[in-house]
Amino acid sequence: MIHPGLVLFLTAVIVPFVRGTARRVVLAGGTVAALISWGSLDFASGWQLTVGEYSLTLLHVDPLSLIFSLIFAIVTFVGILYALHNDSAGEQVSTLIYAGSSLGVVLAGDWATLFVFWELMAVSSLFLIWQSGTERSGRAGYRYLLVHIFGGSLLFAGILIHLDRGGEFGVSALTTSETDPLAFWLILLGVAINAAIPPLHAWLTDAYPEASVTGSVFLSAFTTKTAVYVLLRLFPGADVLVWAGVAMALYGVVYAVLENDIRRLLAYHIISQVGYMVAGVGMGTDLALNGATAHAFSHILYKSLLFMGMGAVIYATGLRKLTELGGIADRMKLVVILYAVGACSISGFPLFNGFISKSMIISAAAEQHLPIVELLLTLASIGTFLHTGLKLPYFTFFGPKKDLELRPIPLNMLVAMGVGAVLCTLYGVVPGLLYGLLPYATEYHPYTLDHVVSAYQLLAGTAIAFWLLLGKLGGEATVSVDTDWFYRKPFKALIEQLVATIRSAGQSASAAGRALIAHAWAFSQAPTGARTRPENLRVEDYDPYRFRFPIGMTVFWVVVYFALVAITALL
Amino acid sequence: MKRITIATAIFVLSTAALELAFRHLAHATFFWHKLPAFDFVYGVLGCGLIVFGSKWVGHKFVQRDVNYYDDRPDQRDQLDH
Repeated sequence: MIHPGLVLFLTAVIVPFVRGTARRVVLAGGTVAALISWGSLDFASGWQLTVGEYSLTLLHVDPLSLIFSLIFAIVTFVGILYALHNDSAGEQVSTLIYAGSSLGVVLAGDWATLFVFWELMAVSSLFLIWQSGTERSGRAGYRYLLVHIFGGSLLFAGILIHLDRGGEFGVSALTTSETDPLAFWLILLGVAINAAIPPLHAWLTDAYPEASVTGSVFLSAFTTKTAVYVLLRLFPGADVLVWAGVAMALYGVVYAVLENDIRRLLAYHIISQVGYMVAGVGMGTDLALNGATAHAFSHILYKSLLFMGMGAVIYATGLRKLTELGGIADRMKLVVILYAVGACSISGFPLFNGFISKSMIISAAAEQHLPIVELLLTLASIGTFLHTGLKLPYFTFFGPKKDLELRPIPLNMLVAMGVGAVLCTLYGVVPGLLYGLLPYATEYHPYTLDHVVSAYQLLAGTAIAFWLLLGKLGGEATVSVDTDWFYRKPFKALIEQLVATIRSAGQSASAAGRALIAHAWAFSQAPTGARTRPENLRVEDYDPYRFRFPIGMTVFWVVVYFALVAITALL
Repeated sequence: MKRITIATAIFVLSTAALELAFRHLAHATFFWHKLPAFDFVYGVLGCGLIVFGSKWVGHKFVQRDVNYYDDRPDQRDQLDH
């Protein structure tokens, strides 16, 4: 049994040392090997590592981790295929580490392993945002990093309190009755940030659209879905998540109406779709938990396909706004068709994979007699088709012609989209392939007459309303203020004010010090000695930084220290 | 316009007829599960609600000028990979 994440880490080590075709072979081979190593996973054994007094479980396989690790391995293969033309070793290495650490989280058996991979995901994904190299991506990346450091700290604090109060070291479900309440809420908040539950979601819609075209495919797949996995693992049946999920599903829809940036629109629909999963986790019945798991699986496939489609548009045109795009469908026919498969899937068209998973969660809400939840999730589903299925493709590919120059799209990008489209359709046509992997034993039949008729009626109603309201739906050249406003406006001003205050206090103190020395100088001399000030005493030239170690030195010694601790612990 | 109206009417009537004919097979938990063509009407009204509701919220509270956050004025970022 081999950890598929380890296979990706090893691939990441080799990648920088090979070039051109050899590197492409290594990348493709590494991701295929990760898929093969997924096949080697079995429930009976695990990987244990003793560090000091702790026994880490680096690899723990059960039905829930098995299905998540499969979809992560699949999307890594598809995403790497899509990025094969891209020769940035930096991006490839960060992608592989990001994918490998996501696999590390879902296969982790203990808190320490989970947390280490959780943080590694945050750091490695950051480079996918910075990789696009624009000024905006630089700033968005810093904000992304700060939010994830904050979220990671909450999670870490929660884990420490949980362990301190006698919690088990192995990762297992937390309940309000048995878990320390502070630990429960800190862990939940830390995970909620990665799951992008509003108001803690703005990092996602801020940063994902700024990432490189190839990087955003991976971003759309991993961070929120590992968080869904952790929610499934830790908080099944936590009531608060039902309403958090419903709010998410609708929140994403509202913002998607206002959005002009094509990838930001898709990002708001990640929030909306993850809302279904979060609501499913909150409901906590076997059907709902299976629904959340299945929907995470489907979502990764169709969302990566949608991001690949819009990425292809950005690659070809260099543009990213609805108001700038339009009239390119006849020159990008294949992309339009492949995108349409993703759009049909996310919108829940029968015979595509979104239908077989989303309907499980909505049916679970009905089964639990939650009428408002059922109606609101269905409403969000209308919004999904409206935006991703109608508005976005209409204004991007069709709509008024804008005389745009297109550059040809590399074959590998089209092949990757083709693989994604085939998988979205395959799981929709043969739902048993997915249902057979689900962790809980329930029976569900998506293709009943009433389900199919309802789905088509809902889609037709939405399409008619779209057609009637078409004039109102075009992109507007605005930005939408979201909860990141708090740290981009007032918090930024506060920090700047604090820095200015401290700086001016420091300057005043140093001026006062210089004045004191200048005046006190005369009194420090022997009364009979020279009264004049010597030439070499020039206090104003004193530069405190000359006598300080650079911060890199401190970091270096900290790293050495931790390396020594790790080595002694392992010995 | 006329053709779309006719096609929609045919679609709604035929699916509603199907729903009525196979009513005994349906999993009806709430009363609207039994109403013929409920999902079509919900789709139309829901879509209208989403568009008008969101636009109202957007124009009133959420939307700002593109340079609101001091980003470079509408720069066309070059994304080559």
